Order: sequence, then structure tokens, then C-alpha cells
Amino acid sequence: MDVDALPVASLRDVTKTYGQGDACVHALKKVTLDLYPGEVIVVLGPSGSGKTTLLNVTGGIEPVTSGEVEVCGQSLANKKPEELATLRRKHVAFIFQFFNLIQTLTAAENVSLIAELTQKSAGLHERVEEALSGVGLLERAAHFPAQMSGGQQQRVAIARALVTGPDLLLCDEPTGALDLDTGRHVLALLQAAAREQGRCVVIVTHNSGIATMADRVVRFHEGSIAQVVQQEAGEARDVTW
Amino acid sequence: MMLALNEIRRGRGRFASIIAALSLIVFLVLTLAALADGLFFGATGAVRSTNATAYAFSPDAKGSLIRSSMTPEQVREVSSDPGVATASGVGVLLTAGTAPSGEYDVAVFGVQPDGAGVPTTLTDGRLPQPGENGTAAIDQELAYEGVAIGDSITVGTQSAEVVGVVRDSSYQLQPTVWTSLDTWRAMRNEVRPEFTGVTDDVNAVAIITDSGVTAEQVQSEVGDLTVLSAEATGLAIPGVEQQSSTLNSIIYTALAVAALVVALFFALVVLEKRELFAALKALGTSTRKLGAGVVLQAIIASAIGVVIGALASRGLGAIVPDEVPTLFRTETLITISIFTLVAGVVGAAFSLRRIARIDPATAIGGTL
Repeated sequence: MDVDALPVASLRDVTKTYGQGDACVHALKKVTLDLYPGEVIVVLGPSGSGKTTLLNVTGGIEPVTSGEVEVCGQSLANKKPEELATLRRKHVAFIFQFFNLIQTLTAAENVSLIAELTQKSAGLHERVEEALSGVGLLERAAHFPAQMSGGQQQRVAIARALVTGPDLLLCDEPTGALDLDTGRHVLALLQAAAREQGRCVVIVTHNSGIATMADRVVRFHEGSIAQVVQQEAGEARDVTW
Repeated sequence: MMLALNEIRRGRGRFASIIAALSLIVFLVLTLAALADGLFFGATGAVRSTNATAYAFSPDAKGSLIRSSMTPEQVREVSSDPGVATASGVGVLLTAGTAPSGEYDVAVFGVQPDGAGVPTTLTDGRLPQPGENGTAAIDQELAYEGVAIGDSITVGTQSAEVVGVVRDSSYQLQPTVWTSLDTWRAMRNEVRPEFTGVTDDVNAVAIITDSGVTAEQVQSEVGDLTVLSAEATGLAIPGVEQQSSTLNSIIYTALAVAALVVALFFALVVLEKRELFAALKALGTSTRKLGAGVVLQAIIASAIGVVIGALASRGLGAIVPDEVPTLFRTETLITISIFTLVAGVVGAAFSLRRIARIDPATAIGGTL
């Protein structure tokens, strides 16, 4: 983690509410947080504490009710959906709990699908191979998701996320559907993305065991940051739960 | 685009259903269109395939060649009207004619060979010459039935030697025999004794208007006679407009059904892929690209449906009996193909709003 670098994303006094009147729910309450390149941040908290909303507003998927979000120096305020989609393509990637791979595409095609939205076709094949090789799945490039295990599918999803070279990797329960060994492998890939490629990796989870691999642990409670712990990150392969 | 194409390539079973539905609709539409064209062209060839641009009828005839009756004076009056380049009498007789190869229902047309209302679709031989009686050009349908140049075709006791063949000239689905006015009148008087002694009447006046002059402009000059364009004269033939509008209504309804089928199919597809689309949006895919993919799939499915439906329709056309008036026209195929593709795109377009409303946040956990 480069503490002297500018933050990849900044949240300033971000509040997000759903509904109105008596049905109003405060998902985030005046949250301020900076996310730095090369950093692994684990966001913990019980269901309904605001973890997922943090991912959504940071990725520009949902607008904030008040406060400000900046990603790579660009304020997300007043951006149109298409502009936010462009910003995500260039700077942000998501990893989902249930992988969300396209069943009719092979592993390589799933990876290249997003890459070809953002990049020129020249060298695309090589970049896809490199991404799949990085997650140890080059030999399964021609396989369809249904022909792969859950762990392999999540590794394809990581390759898909990394192939565009995002500055910010937002992970929603990335090991939620995986067993311990497979989960460690996936977490190791995410940690490597931060350490070796300088990505900022945010992992939202309710699994506190994952926190040992984080450079920073942020605990949410009822929409607010309850605790931030800066720590010496452990190795992802030693994580246990 | 890659996603859209791969889904069709690898999800053949799913797309086979929509393609099959569209193929059946296109087959139905093209077959109905072939029937509509067959009926229309079979009924109106005699007024479409001549050099006349308009026809004048007696006031009570309502634009019907058969019902109209006009005197030589009326023909001369029309001839002298401004905007009329040429005007000639036309006689029509629906009757039976005998040739060496058999007896046929025919429409005998008496025309002035160097005047208006003369066929322009000669395919073999020649037309009767000015001043020549006892000769005739026949419709190609009669040639297909075995009547040949050199044969005589006889109505009552009046015969005409076949000297030429014209195409696309039938009238009320009957093949035509084109002869001189005198020969027509002789035949007419044979089978309609009430006309015995009548030697100079005609049914209507065929008109070649001056360039740029319309039937409506001529109408304003001819008093209480009725003047219709050649196209309108075709539609005024009893039953033609009704047949066309009925069949066209069925065709338009079928095309609307095609649009609905596509709309329902893609509505289901989008509903089924909500989570995937949400994830793709979260990953930065624009609504425009997702929508374009769906529209591309609709175009491909519609195009395949058009090809299969057209082939099936042509296949049916090859085995349908000759008595059934069908006409498979390239223009109709192109028109129906374009309409089907547009219907497919319109149908798919209904899903675009649904795609636009998919919230990428639904791809990620819950809402909090």
C-alpha cells in the first residue's frame, strides 16, 4: 500500500437513504473513507449494516443521498448513467458472490467480453490469455462455466475483473459460495492483485476470518463506520474460518 | 455483439422456438400475399398491361367495364377533351371460347389496334393490325392450356385466328382474347342476341392522357361520365378491392402478431436474464449495448424466419394446383421481409425500456 499516493476513491460525509417518511432507512450515515492503491480493505458488519451500499455508491451504481464520492479524481455527482458506466469500464471492476458468468460463453469469451468493451481489439487475445493464466485457468479457457467448479468460476470472474486493468476492485462476498481451500485461493489472487498490480481491493463480507489478510479492516454498524483497524496484513493462504 | 451472436449460436434450442414461430408467420403471410397477388393480378391484368392510363365509363356503370355502355359520340367527345392524347372504345365480353385444344372461359376484349387500351405485354407473334378483323392475341394462360398461334378460337360461330400471345392480361381471373372491335362485336352479338343489329357501341373508352395529366383532371372535362385511372379501374372490378383489403387485413394482422411474438419472447428473455444484465451493467456495459444486442438477436431471428418461411411458401407454391390463383412476386417478398424485420425490431424494442430499468445494484447482494 502506497500511503503517499492519492486515493483511488474517496467518500466524504456520504449518506444514503432508501424510502421516505416512516419507511425511511438510513443505509449509510455520513461515511467518510479513502481507498488507496495497493491496499486490501475488508469491510465487515452484520447484514443490513451498509456494507453492500458502500460498494454500490463507491462503484457509481447507486447515487448518494448526500455527501460526495470521487473515483480516480472524478466526482460521481451529476453523472449520467452512461457516463457512470464508462467510468466503471475504465476504473472499477466488481466481483460477485455468485460469479455472474455468462453460461453461453467460454471462460475466455467471458473474460474478453468486458475487455473488448473498453479496449482495442489489438492484443486482446494475449491480454485474455494473460488474465486467465494469472488465475491458473489458461488450460480451461475453452470451457463453459457449467463445466467448471465454483472456485474455478470465481477465478474466471477475477480474470474478467482484472483484464481491464481497473484501479478499484469491489468484491461482494467473493468467497461466500466457496469452500475454505478454494476461498483461500481466490483471496490469494485478490491479495496479489493489490500487492503486485497496485489495485485497491475492497472485500465486503460478513466473514470476519477474512479480516486477517487486510491492510485495513473497516467495521460497519447500522450504516456508520464503527471501527477502522490498520494492521499488518497476513497471507491470504493462512486465512481460516 | 459477441454475446448476442454467441447466445444464438449456443442457445439454438431457445432461439429455435422464436425462429419457428416467425417462420410459420412469414409462411402464412407470404402464402396469403401470393393469393392476394394472384387474385389481384389475375383480375386486373387486362387494365394494367395496356397503354391506357385511364378509362371513361358511362355514368351509371360505377367504373365497371362490363356494366358500362357508351356510344360513338361519347367516344369522340372524350377524344376531343383537353389532356386526352388518344381515346378509343373498348368492348368486353365474358364468354366461353372453343379452340382445337378445348373449351375455355375467356374474356374477349375488343380494342382499336392503333388506339388506346392495347396490350403492351406481347411475348410471341403479333397483335391484330389496324383494319384487320378475324385475328386475335391471346393471354399466356391460354397458351399454357395448349392454344397456339395459328389456332382458331371460336365464340358462337365467330372465329378469330390466334396471331400472338400476351402475358399478365387476364380479366376477373379469366384469360383474355384481344381482337378488333368489329370482331368483338360480332362475337358479342352471337352470344347476346339482344344486341343484334347494334354495330357501333362499346363498353368504355380507353384513354392515353397527355404527359402529367391525371384521370381527375380529365374527369373535370367529361361531364357526367366517370373517369378512373387504370389502377383505379382495376380496383373497381367487382370484388377486387374487397378481396385485396380482406387479405391485406389478415396480412397486417399476422405481421402485428409477429411483432407481439417477438416482443413476448424478448420480454421473457430479458426477465430471465435480469441478474446477468444487472451484472453486466455493474461491470460497465451500457444499456445501449445491451439493447443493441437484443435488437441484433431479433433481426437475426426474424431474418432466419423470413428465409425459412419464404422457402416453405415457395415450396407450397410449387405444389399448389393451377386452379388456385397464386403469384409469388419478388417485390412482395422484399416488402414482407422488410416488414417482418421491422416487426421484429419493434417487438424487441419493447424490451429496451425493461433493460433500461434493470438496476445494476441488484447484481450485488441485497440492498443494504
